[in-house]
Formats: sequence, C-alpha cells, structure tokens
Amino acid sequence: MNEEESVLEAVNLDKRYRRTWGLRECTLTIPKGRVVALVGPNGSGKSTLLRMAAGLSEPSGGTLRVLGRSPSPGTDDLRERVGYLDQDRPLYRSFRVAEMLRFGEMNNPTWSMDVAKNHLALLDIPLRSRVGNLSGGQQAQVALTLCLAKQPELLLLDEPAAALDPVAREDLLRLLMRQVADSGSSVVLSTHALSDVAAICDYVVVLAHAHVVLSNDTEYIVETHRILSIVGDSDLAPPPGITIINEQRSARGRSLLVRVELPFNDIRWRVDRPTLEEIVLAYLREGSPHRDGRNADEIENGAR
Amino acid sequence: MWFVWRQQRSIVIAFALLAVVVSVWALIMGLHEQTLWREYLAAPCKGEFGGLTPSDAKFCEGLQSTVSSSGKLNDVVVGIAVAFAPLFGLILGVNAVAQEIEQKTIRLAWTQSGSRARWLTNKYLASVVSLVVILAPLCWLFSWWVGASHDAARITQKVFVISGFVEVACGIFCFALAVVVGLLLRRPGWSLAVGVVLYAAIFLGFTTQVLPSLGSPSVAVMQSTQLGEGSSSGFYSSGGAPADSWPLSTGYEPKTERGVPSTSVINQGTNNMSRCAISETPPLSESHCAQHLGLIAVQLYIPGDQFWTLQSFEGGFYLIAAALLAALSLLVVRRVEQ
Repeated sequence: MNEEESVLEAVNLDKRYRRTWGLRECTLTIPKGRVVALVGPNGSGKSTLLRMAAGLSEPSGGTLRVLGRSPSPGTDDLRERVGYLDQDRPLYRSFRVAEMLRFGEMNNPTWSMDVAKNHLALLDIPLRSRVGNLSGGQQAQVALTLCLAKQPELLLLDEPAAALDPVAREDLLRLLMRQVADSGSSVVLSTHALSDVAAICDYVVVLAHAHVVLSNDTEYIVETHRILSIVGDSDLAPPPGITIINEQRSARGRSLLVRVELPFNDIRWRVDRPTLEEIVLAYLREGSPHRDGRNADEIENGAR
Repeated sequence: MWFVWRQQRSIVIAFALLAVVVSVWALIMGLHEQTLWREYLAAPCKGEFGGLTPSDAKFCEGLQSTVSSSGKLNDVVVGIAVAFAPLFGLILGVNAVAQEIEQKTIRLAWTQSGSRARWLTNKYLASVVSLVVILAPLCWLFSWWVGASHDAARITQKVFVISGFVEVACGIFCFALAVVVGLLLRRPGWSLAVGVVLYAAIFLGFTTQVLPSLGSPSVAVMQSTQLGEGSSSGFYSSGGAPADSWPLSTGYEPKTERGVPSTSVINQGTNNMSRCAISETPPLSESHCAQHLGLIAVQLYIPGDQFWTLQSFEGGFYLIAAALLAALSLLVVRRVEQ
C-alpha cells in the first residue's frame, strides 16, 4: 500500500514515558477511506497512537506519517486536515454551545457552520445552552460536532462513545457514520466496545501491551479465522498451515480459534465461523503476557 | 483574540470591578487626606511650626491626630496597590496555560488548525491589552493618591512601584512568568504559588538591591527641616535630604570631603564616631565627638528629579524580562507533550 492510499502509516513506532512504554515497535498501515477500529485493553497504546497522530506528542522512535506527513506541533497544514476527539472530550465548560461553534469557526478555515448546526439540531442541543450544563452525551456530541464541522480528511476519535448510555451511544455512532458517509472522511476510532467494531468499522487494529497484534480488513479477518472444535480429551494436532490464536479446553473437549489461509477440510474437526468479536477477544486474551507464557510479539508474528 | 477574551472575561471583569472599588476608595481617601494636609500646613497650624495660640494648638493637635490616624489605612491602600497588578497578571497567566493543561482543553485548542505559537501569541496580545486597559488608569490614580495622601515621597521605596507605570510592567511580567511556570508545572495551584514566590523574590531583590544603585545619589548635611507640601511621611523630617527625595542612608563624613562620599567613607566616619563616643568616661556627646574628629553628619539620597529615570529602569527591566519570558514560552510550547 503506497503513501497515497494510506492515511496513517507507522513503522517501528515507539513512545516511551518515563519508565513505561506507551507504544513499542508499532508497525501498521491504515488505508484511506475506511472506518478503522483501534481495539485494545486500557494501557495498550491506543490513546498514545492517536495523540501522536494528532500532533499532540512526538514519537520516541520510529516513524509516523499521517496523510503523508509527519505530525508534529509545527505541521500546520496537517492540523487543518485532521480532526481529533480526545477521550476526555475537553470543552470550555463556561462557553455556550454557540460560542464553541464560533471557536471552531475561527480556528478552522475549512469549517462548515451548516454541518455543525444541522448536527446539533438533529440532537436537539440548544445553541444557547452552557456546555457545563449539558449531559455527558450532549457534551460528547458537541465535541464530535467540533470535529465533524471542521470537515477533516481524517478523523481520530479516542473512545468517542465511552461512558455514554446505550441510547446516547447509538445516537452518537449513527450520526458519526452518517456524517462520515456524507463527507468521505477516513476515521480511526479507539473503542472498548466490540459490538461497535462489528457494527460500524471495516478495518480493525488490535493493540495489546503497546504492540500491534492484529491489523486488517474486518471481512478478511472473519474469512481467515475459524473455530475448530473436537469432542473429548483429544490431543489431535491441527493440520499444518494453521496458526492457533487461542485454545480453550473444557470437560466436553477442545476448542481452537485459528487463523487459516487455505480452505480447511478435516472431518475430524467441527468448523465454525467466529464472529469478529470472538476473534478480537481471542487476540486480546492471547496478547496478555499473563496467559500461556506467549507474548504479543509471538502472536503478532504468528498471525502474519 | 475573541476566544482569549471570552475565556478570560470573568477574571478580567472581576479585577476591573475590584479596580473600580479600590479606585473609589483611594479617591475618597486621597481627597480627604489632601484637605486635611492643606489645613494642617496652612495657617494657623503651619505644620505646627507657626506661632500657635492655646486654642489653635488644640485644634492643630486634633488635626495632627486625624492626619496621623489615616496612616494605617494608607498602608492598606499601598498593600492593595502593590499586590493588584502582579496578582492580576499571575492569575491571567495561570488561567491562560496551566488551567488549560489541567482541564485538557489544550488538547482541543492544539488540534485546531492554528499553530501553538499563534495560540500563545493571541493569549499574550489579549492579556496584555486587558492588563494595560485596567492597570494604566489605576496607576494614574495611585500616582495621584501618593501625592494627595502625603504617605511618602513618590520616589521612596514604599510607594515608588505604585507611582508611575511600573505596576503595568509588573502585571505584564507576572503574566509572562505565570505562562512559563504553567507550561513547566502544568498545575494551576502550584503555578500560582511558585509564580507568587518567584515574583516576590525578584521584586524585593530588584527594589532593595538593584534600584538604589541605579540612581545617582546626592549628599546633604543633616538638619531639622520644616514639613512642607510633598514631604515624606512623619511630621518632623530630621534629615537633610529634600522632602521629595529618597533617603538612602545617614552617617558621617570628614568635613573636608568634597562631592558625594562613598559608602566606605561614610561607614568609616560612622565607626569613628562610635569609637569616640565610648572611649571616654563619661561618654562624649555626639556633637563633641563630631567636632573633635572633624566629621559632619550627612544623608545620602536620590533626588526626586530622578523619579522618571528610575521608573524607566524598573519598568524597562520588567518589560524586557517579560519579552524574554514570552520568547522562552514560545520555544517551550512547541515541545510540550500531551
């Protein structure tokens, strides 16, 4: 994939805080025009990656290119093309909603007041309300509005629906998808909600312990993973060409979530198609250093 | 600029209201004290240097008592006036950066299309305008009050900083100081505390150690002088320095000394006087020793006409320091990680 086709490209990207790694040897390419889910447990490096992509912090090592340029505090034209929603959804609480929109308009040459007002009108958020008096869901929508009305080529959303009730969450994601479809922006969003990933994303990046453990199209991921089950206490090895991502044993038998590159025809195994959620969960479980003694590097290498 | 004004509006309005309250108070006090002093310095009292009849003496004593009792209130006015501009600058500076970092709104601001340098420059411009608009008239009023209250000559350390334009420069300096400290510490409370301590140290250091050496001192022979319009505080000025000057020190110099004596000459003369006084039993009187040693009591002072020169030095110092801090903050802001 060349630079023009990717919106975000990281090569051996490192981010070191004082004693810990926020991100380590992260290599991934995120294609243009996709809605990409960045999935991982707390501390896996999702926010770190998004903040570096937004130019809020700089890598400790490796390279990061966003829309073909290196994001940094000095990259002015990149900030025009990238919208960033922080996980804390920071807003000026003493401002009225209309003043927040004015703030966005004054700071962004590509701003569309129509987009902003239409978005808020759909949600019945009054422009005269003080931001501090809005509910959490409404504040999240105002913060998202600031990103969308900027009409960026790339939207970086750090847990946009976190801490919202199901209705607010559904509203936010639905309107997000509608705006993205209208504008054609690329979206990278981090989330803990695997149901959101399956519903709205067409590309998934799984991070665990500061490493990328999976990165691909959702369709391709689903197509190349299977659940193999065998009844009884069998130690039957799966055929060659299969990578075991996760293995579970129970009183009834063994169950393996595997990655298969070729059609699988072994009648001794029962074969099921896993859901995207099951696959992502399997990678997240195996990405933990506390399980089975395998670390994320091994899983990542095994998956490729 | 609109955004910065909107963000700082409540602080600016609060300080503007406070400035109005303090101004009205200072104006009322100043007019009252001005009237009292005019009465006290005019006939029949003439600062109690006139030929007083018993009834006049009682009236003048009462007047003196009233004038004297306003001294404590004067100290309060001076305290408020000295603290107003630095506090205004520091609070604006902390709000401009440390508060944004702590509330994480800086992540919103720094991911808009404008650069961080532009963001910070706007903060400086809007804040400096707010500071100047509020502090300049306040400084003018305090300058008038210093003269009206006769609390101290305007060039003396006590009121020098609130007479003239130094307070405006202090406010701007404190804003820049709080911005830099805020960028480094990232916590509003700590930034304000450290800013207050740093400013207090710089202010005291400059006022007590640097400023006296920037003036060209003169020397006067010690004598009792009559109180007059524009005098420094107190009812009997016993020094030889003019009433509108800044007395630096008193001591003794040889009668043969010409020009302004150095500190070491005055110290040596004063030491000789001390030794002389205790060398004899019973101790010799001061005047006897001075005559015996050929010394004369003198007072070093900075003349009042150097007021604007010293204002330029101190104001310039704070403005140049503010400019350097602003340049530093523009460098630092590019490196701040979020």
